[in-house]
Formats: sequence, C-alpha cells, structure tokens
Amino acid sequence: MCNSTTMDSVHLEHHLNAIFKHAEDFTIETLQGPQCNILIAYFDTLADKKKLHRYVMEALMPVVAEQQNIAISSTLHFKIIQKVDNLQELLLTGSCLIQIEGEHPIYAVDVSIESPRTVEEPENEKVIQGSHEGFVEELRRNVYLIRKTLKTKDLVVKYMKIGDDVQSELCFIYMPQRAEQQVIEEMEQRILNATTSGLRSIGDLEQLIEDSPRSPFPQMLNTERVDRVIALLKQGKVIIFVEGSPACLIAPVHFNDFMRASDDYNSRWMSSMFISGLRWLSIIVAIFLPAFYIAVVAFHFEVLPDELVMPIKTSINEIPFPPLIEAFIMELTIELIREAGLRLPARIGATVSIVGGLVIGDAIVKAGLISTTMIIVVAITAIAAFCIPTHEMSETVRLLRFPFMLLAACLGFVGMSFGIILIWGHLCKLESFGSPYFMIITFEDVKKQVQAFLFGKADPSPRQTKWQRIQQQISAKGWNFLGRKKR
Amino acid sequence: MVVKKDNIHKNQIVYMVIQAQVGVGILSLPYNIAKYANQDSWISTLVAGVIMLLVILIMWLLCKSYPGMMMFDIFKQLTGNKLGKCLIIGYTIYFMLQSSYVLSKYGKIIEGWILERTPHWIVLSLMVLTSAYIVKDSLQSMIRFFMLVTPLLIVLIALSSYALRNANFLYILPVAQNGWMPIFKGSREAIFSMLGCDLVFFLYPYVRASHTQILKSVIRAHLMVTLLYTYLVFISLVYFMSPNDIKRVPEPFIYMIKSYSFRVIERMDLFFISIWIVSVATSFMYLLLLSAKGLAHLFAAPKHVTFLPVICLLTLITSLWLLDSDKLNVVNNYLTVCHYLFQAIIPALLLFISIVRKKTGDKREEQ
Amino acid sequence: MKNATLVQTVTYDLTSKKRLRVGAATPVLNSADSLQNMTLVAEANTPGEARILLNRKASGLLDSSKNKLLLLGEAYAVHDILPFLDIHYRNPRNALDARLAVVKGEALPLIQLRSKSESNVSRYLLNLIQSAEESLLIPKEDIQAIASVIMDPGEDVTLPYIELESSSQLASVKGIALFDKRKYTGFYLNDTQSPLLLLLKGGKPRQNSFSFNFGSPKEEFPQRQIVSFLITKSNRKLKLTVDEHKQIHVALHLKLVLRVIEYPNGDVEADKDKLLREYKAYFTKLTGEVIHQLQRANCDAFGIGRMLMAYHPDVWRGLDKEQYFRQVKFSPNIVIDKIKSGIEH
Repeated sequence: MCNSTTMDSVHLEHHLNAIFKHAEDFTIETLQGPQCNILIAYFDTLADKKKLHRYVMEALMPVVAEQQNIAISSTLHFKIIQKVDNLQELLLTGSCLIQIEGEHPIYAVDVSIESPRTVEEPENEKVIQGSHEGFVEELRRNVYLIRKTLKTKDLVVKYMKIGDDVQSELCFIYMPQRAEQQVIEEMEQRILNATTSGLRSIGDLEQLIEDSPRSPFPQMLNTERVDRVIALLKQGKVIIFVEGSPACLIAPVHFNDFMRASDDYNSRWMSSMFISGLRWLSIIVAIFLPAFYIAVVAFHFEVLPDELVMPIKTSINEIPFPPLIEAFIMELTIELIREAGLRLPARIGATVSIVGGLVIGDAIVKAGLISTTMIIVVAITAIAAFCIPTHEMSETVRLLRFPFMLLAACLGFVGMSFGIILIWGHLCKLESFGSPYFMIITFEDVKKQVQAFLFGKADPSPRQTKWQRIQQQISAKGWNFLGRKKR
Repeated sequence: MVVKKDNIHKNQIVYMVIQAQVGVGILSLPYNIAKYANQDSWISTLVAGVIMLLVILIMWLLCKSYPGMMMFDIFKQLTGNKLGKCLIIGYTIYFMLQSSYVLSKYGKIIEGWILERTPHWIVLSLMVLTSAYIVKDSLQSMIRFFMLVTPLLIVLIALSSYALRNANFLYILPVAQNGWMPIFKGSREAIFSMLGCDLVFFLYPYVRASHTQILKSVIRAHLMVTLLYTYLVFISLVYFMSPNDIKRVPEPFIYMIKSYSFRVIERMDLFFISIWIVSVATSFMYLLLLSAKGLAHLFAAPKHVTFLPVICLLTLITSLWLLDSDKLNVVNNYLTVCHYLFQAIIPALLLFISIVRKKTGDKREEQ
Repeated sequence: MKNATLVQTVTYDLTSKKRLRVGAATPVLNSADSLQNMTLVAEANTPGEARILLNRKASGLLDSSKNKLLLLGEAYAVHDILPFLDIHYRNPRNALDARLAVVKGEALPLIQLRSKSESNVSRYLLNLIQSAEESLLIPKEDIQAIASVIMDPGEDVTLPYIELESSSQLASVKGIALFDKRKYTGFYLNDTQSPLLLLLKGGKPRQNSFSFNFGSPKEEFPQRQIVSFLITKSNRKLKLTVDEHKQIHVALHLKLVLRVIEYPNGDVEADKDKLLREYKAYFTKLTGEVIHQLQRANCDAFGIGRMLMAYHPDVWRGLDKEQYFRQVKFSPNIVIDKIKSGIEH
C-alpha cells in the first residue's frame, strides 16, 4: 500500500474499514472540535476504556479545543507510525491510532486491557517446600517473572514470531555463557523453518521443533514453575515461551531432567537422594510390574517362593479370564476412572471415586471376575505412575505399560527382555538438539558426586581454583581440614 | 565421508570391545574348554587371552599403516581391486555365518531352557528385528546402547559368584596334571569366545583417538574380558567336578544358578538368561553391522541401512535351517577353520604384504 | 498356572516285583479351610513312565517345578539311586534345590499321614527337614549338590534318615543315612552321632544339645550325674599324611567350646576339671563310634579321596578305589577349650 506519509485521514478511514470490514468491534471515532477533527481508531474489545480516556481523550481535548499543536516530544505515550504495514498489527495488539484531519502523521498509543491471571502455583506441579509461583498466559509478564528473580545482565531475551496465517509471538531466553551456542542456533533454525498455519498451543510448537516427534518420549521439558525454570536456565538450558500458554518449553533435556522435581533443590542431600531413588523405582514399577506379574503367572510361576505359590494359585483359580485379559480390563478401567476424574466437577468427584473404589475394587473381586492379586498389582502400578514429577513422562510411562504386558503374555521373560532392549535402543537413539538423551550417568558425574561429597557442594564459579574452594569450605565450616586450627 | 554422528569417542572403545566379545559363548564356555582341559580350564582362558593379544597387535599394525582407510579399503589397496573385492565378499560371508551361528545357538538355548513350545522363527526374528532396529541408524546409537548395557555384566558376575558358597576348591587341584597339551587345546575353544576386537579395527577411521590410545583401550578391554572369563570358568570348575560332572552340563552357569533359592524369588536362572539375551544381542548387532558395512562397501553405497533387510533375512533363514536340521556342530567346524583364516592368517599375510611394500617403496625412493 | 497340578513331594519305593512305585503329593485347594493334599500313586519301571501314568490320574497337567522333596524308600535306596534321578536333572523346569531323604521302610505312608500341626503334608515334611538342618542334625543337601558328590570317586554322600512313627502319625528325623557311591549301605548314624559327624566335617554348631551320664550306676541318683550342654563354637582341622608304606593317616583335631544348660549337681566351676575330662572321653568315644560306622559302611564322608587326588595324585592312582576308605587310619583328637556355665555358677 502507500506510505503513511501520503495517507490522509479520509483515506486512512477507508483503508482501515476495508481491512476490518467484518469486525464489528472495530471503532472509529472522530473528536470534533472548532479548529480540527481528530480521527481515533481502535478495537472496542481490546482497548481499556480508562486508559483511552486518560491518555488519549484528555490529552487531545486541549488540542481540539484550542488548536494547540500536539507536542509529540512532550507526550510520551504517542508514537509516530512510519510504515502502513504496522497499522494492522498495532490495532490488533490493543493500540489506538490517532490522526489529525488534514495532517499526515499517524500516532499510536498503547491502550490495551491488562488483566493478567494472578500468579499462583500451577495445579500439576505442587511442591511442599519452595516457591509457589507459576507462569501466566501473558508473554511479557512471564519474562517479568523471570527477570525479577534472575537479576543479571547476562540474560538473552529474543522475540520471534511463528505462524503463517495466525501469528504467535515467541520468546527465547537463555544465559549466553552457560548455554551451548550450537543448541541455540539449532533451535532458532528450526523455529524459522517451521511452517504452520497457526499454533494451537505450546504442544504444537513442541512437535514442530523436536527431534523425533514419533517417539513416545518427550524431548522437551514442559513446566509452569518459575523456580524450576530459573534453575534450568542456570544449568544452561534454553527456554521458549509462547504467548497464550503458561507452560514453557525447555531444551536440551536429558532423561534425568524429567525425574527431577523442585523438591530436590530444596531438600537435604540424603533425603533428596532417597526420594530420587524412589522415583526411579516408581518408573520401573509403573512400566514393568503388570508385565512381570503376567509373565510369572502365565509362564514362569516357579519364580515365586513356595509360600507364595499356593495363595496366588488359590486367588487365580476360579477366574474365568487369562491373566492378560484380566490385566487389560483392570488397567483400562483405571485409566477410565482417571480420565473421568479429570472431567468431573468437584462435587460429584468424591462420590464417583467411592463408586470406583468400592464397586470396581471390591465387588469385582467378590464376583469372581478379577483376582485379588491383580487388583493389588494394578493399584500399585497406578500409584507408581503418578509419582513421576513431569506430566508428559507420566503419560508416556502409562502408555508403555501396555506393549510390555502384551510381550510378557506372549513370550514371558524373554519377551520382556526384548521389550527392554527395544526401549533402551530407542532411548539411546534419541537426541535432544544434539546432545544424547539417555546418558543417565557418566563417569564425570560420578567424579563430581564424589567430589561434592568430600569437599562440599560444588557450585563453583569457574574462576575459583580448587585450593580457593577448599579454603572457602574451611572458613565456612571451620573444618580441621589441614590440621591447622581455625582461630 | 565421516559423518559427525558416526564418530566414536575414545572412552567408548572399551565398551565396544567388551560387549562385542562377551556374547553367546559365555554360557557354554566352561563346558567347551573342560572337554579338553578338565580342571585346568582356567589356565586355558588365560593362555587364550595372551594369544589373542597377538591377533590384536597384527590387526592394529595393519590399521596403523593405513590411517583413515577402512579395513575393506585396505584390502583393496593391498591386493588390488579384484582380489580385494573377493576378500570383502569373503569377510562379509564370514560375518554372516558367524551371526547365523550366534543366532542358532541362542535359539537352541532359549528353546532348551525357557520357551520349549514357542516356534523357532518367533524367537529368532525377535532378536533379528530388535538388533536391526538399533543398528540401522548411526554408529553412535549402537555404541551408546553398548555403554548402557555394560553394567548388566556386573549383575551376571554377582549371580555367578553366589556359587562360591558351595565351592570345593579341591576340584581345581592338582594343577597341570595332564600336561600342557590339553590346556592348549582348551585355549582354542576359549579364543572363539574372544573374537570381538575386529569391531574396532574395521571401524578404525571413525574412532577419534590416537593410535596408541586405541591400542591401549582395546588391550585394556580385552584383558578385562579375559579376566572375566577366567573368573567365570574358575567358578564353574570349583562348583562342578570334572571330568565327570562338568561334562554332563552343557550350560554350567544356568545349572549353578538354578539351584539357588532366595526368600523373595527363586529360579534366578530365568533372570540370568534374560540378562544374557542382552549380551547376545550386542554381539549379534556388531556382526550385523560389519556385514552390512561390507556389502555397502562392495556396492559403494553411502549407508549400510539399505543392505540390512537382505542380511537379516539371509541370517534368519540360515539359522532356522541350522536349528531345524541340527547341523550346529558341522557349522562349528567350518567356522573354526574360518576363524583361523580370517582372524589370523589373512591379517598376518596382509601385514606382511604391507611391510614388504613399504620396504620396496623405501628402496625405490632411495633410488 | 491355573491348569497345573503341582507336585510337592515325590516318593520312590521298590515293590517286591522290583518295580518302582512312585507317589506324588499334590495340594488340593479348598477355599474354605487350609490346604489339604491328595496322593497319587503309580507303578512303573522308571520315573518317566510313572509320570505319564500319574498324568492320567491328575486333574491338571503335572508340574514338578515346585517339587522340593524326594523321599527314597530304604528298599529302593540300597540300589543305585542315580539313574532314576536323571529325570530331575533333565527337565529345565525342575527345582534343583529339592531335598532328598531316605525313609526307613516304605516312603509312601509318609505322605499319606495326616499331621495335626500342618494340613499340608509336604509342607510339614519339608519344615521337619529344614528345622533339622538348622539344628545341625542333618547335612543340607539338595539334588544339585549331591550330583557332584555322587559322581566324585573320592567322596560319598550322606542324606537325612527319616522314620514314620505310625502310632503317633508323626515323622521324625533319625539321623544320617550313609551311602557308598550310589547305594545306601543300610548303616546310619543316630541322633547323637550325626551332629558330631557334621562338626567333624567342619560345620558350624547350631545350638546342638547333648546330654550324657558320666556317673557310675552304683550311685543313689544316677540321674544327678547327667549333664546337658550345648556346643557353641567348634574348630576343626584335618591333616592328611601318607607315610612310606602308602598308609593314609588322617588326624582330626576338633576344638569345642561348650555351654552347660543343665547340671543337677549345681556347681559347674568346681567340677570343671572333672567335666573336662569326662567330656573329652565322651566325645572321643563318640568320634570313634562315628568313624567305625563310616568305615563299616565304606562311606567317605570327609572327602579323603578328593584330598588325595588333589595333594597326593600318585598315591591315589595306586589305590583301590572301592575299598580305600576302610584302610585309612584316623586319629581323632578332641579338645574342649572352654566350658561356659551360663548365668549361674
């Protein structure tokens, strides 16, 4: 279109009306005054009336009345528009356009409604000890939440846009000294090359830019917690925010990152190790326990010790179904209960959980349809799956249970072995933006742990030498480290 | 062209060699050696380890003289294009034969001990498919898998060590009662379970390390495996009496572990076999990889993935035929000859040729 | 698992017609009360044949993966036991930690008895044997362990010896049955000699109680001289020497620490020297009995032959492999290190 410098108010009005002809909330007002008329265009639904009055109407009234020239430099809210392409975008983000009849410059003022959701703890990621802040849907407010905790100049914040028809705004955040350059470039490349008509949510973005969208395992971490994001930023990860989503994407991640909760940062060393170990145990139980039980009962019951054989045999003797069908019925029932629990309003929820527990648990055993041991196995598995801190990994684990059950029912322990080989092989192949996904523990990690144990928690600035670190520990703890008494 | 993803880090060499060497033979190793060496079988493994060092050295010298070239290229370089291609075909067939044998042996043990009624093709194709899945992508995925799986060997060792409770150390004595010839005959059997070093040497240009580092890592890994085998053979010798007792159990370890019973779980041999399957899978994987790379070299294809289906199918059919017609022993004899040929004689000859060439090349330069 | 009939105990007996009678105890599930069991009997030539016959009688498929006890009738055990055990080794599902025992008379009545303490007779018998093992009355032998020993020309196996007291419907462990190579010799050690054999073989004592009477019958209350004691520590050394005449000498040194649990006379400390002397005499006599019995049965329970093979292979080669044990000269030496008197003096 033509430059704004050549467009006058009549043309502007026609131009904007042509673009937004279907939008009935698009308003064009004219302030009529004795000397001149001022054209104001804005979206009724996006503009805050109070701001509109305060910044625009009150500022313009004297101009209209006394024909004072708008002293642009003194009015800080006003901005001169240079290009006509920006008009659409400015209006859609809540600005209002102002043009004086007869003159050419178009001014824009940001009068958008601000009513962000209050910062509260995210539902899925609650912790006992630690910060209870979570992100909100507004992009800029999220960046504010990060900046207010991480007051450092070494924070890179980049805005990008994605989407062909409907654009969404993205924000890239990382700490340049800690994040790897290669990863950053790779991420930027992928976002720029991603073609989509419009993002529905952050999950879409994840599928567009991750390494293997067909893998069942998530390759980017999804979290709403502020403290977790900050800790990960310090570790050198890159964060992506999308406007409209309180969750952010984090890359590159390892398998271990999915098993960490914020509790680990706030608890003591020993208890956090114990709880971490418990979580790893829960992932193993959640994937393998039903399959193990089916393999034992269907194929290899000699694995059970003598005292256990008869009780289990008694409990499964009268059941009409083979163990695989039993397991599938119970697992699917539990998944149904879980899904229903999500959708139920709170008041009915309690009643239905009683129904689920009593009817399904108790009555089905009494009717002789499912054995008691199967109920125990399924219950333990369900609980174990919920122990995993990240929601995405928890869903993956719940999904992976079923193929293992099938393999165990067909081939017993051998089938399970092959299932494990396949899963491990797949995990070894997965990469998250260039770094391997499944290196749980490397030799350097072990060395670091041992050093941390002997010399104290290491979060050293890289400029300190080892000797300085030891000195620091001595003065902090007064240890008789080198045989010299501390005064 | 060496793709970035195919680089092998120097820390990974050890794991590669260990997992390639420890495979299907570990279960019947004591039985095979004790057939010849009776109670001195543990010495046989040590002797075999030492002999293998020679083989490693020969291959390493060969690779060192032609850095940056894959072994297949070295064949062509040293023996001319046509003969080189024949050598590549020979090696490819040798690897495929070995992998069929590994597969059949594995199928036989699974059939004998766990899944008696499952048809062979299911058990074998499961192994082939999972190995092919891991091998089809870059080298790194296979090597990371090897690294991941190595701690399972510790579980294997721990389970076997439990047998020391009922051990009778008198079974080992007296040492070298029947002289050294039986020990050497036993070493022959032990060597066949230690053939895995060629993985590193066939993938030499992909390894990002200096020559001495590679040699050191390979020797270190090989010594670890030798010690492991010696330890395992020793355990079976103190548990089973030879000559009569050990000769009736073709798979001594499973027998040993079968008789344990803990409070929570019995029949530990099922777990042992499940873990052992992973070791078999790793050895099978490396054989698949090398055969695929051989074929890829033959047809000058950039990736080995294209040949994997063919190789998998051929291996599967061969091993099914071997299992059903019970010709394992026959194949074993052929393989023995092939081992001598391909692992020792040909590399030695090639080394000899390369030394001679270098000397004549020097002489020509002097002139 | 649902269709399997678990066999928990198997008995082997030899009938008068030299056929094998095999009994299998299988548990019967009664959801009302605790487990009962049902006995299946079949007569055949070998265990494999018998198994086929038993399968026809059982309601589900016979599964011997939980077969933890094998009872050998005396008449059967005096013949070669190894061939008929082959089926237990060959089947991959079999439990190789099954216990074996020799039964006085016929083995079949043992699994047909109705015990009052436990309704499952297999459980009862297995507990009986395991508790006897715990008190070091019988050696802990399972099928896998005895396979090696039976095949060893230099060692012989010893198995628990059980008897059924038909009057009280109870089974009791009588001692250790002595085998010569693969046959039961008919000789056994009773319940005082058995723990001593196990101690002489190097086992660690497990609160074995003994009591003996060292008083003379002339006294008024001869019972007053009975003292009951436990062995708390035992240390054994075995030295094998061969002299120029190819005569094998075995010196057995046993050092014991005892603890008195009952001494009607009262004062242990005062009578300590007397007690030491009496104990030493008692144990030496008992050891002599044990060794005499072993040599009568030609049962090399110590593994002397294996030691000869290991340390003196040339001597071993020149020996008569069948009768060498009878020519071994034992010199036992029992030393009582300490006598603890308990909380009373």
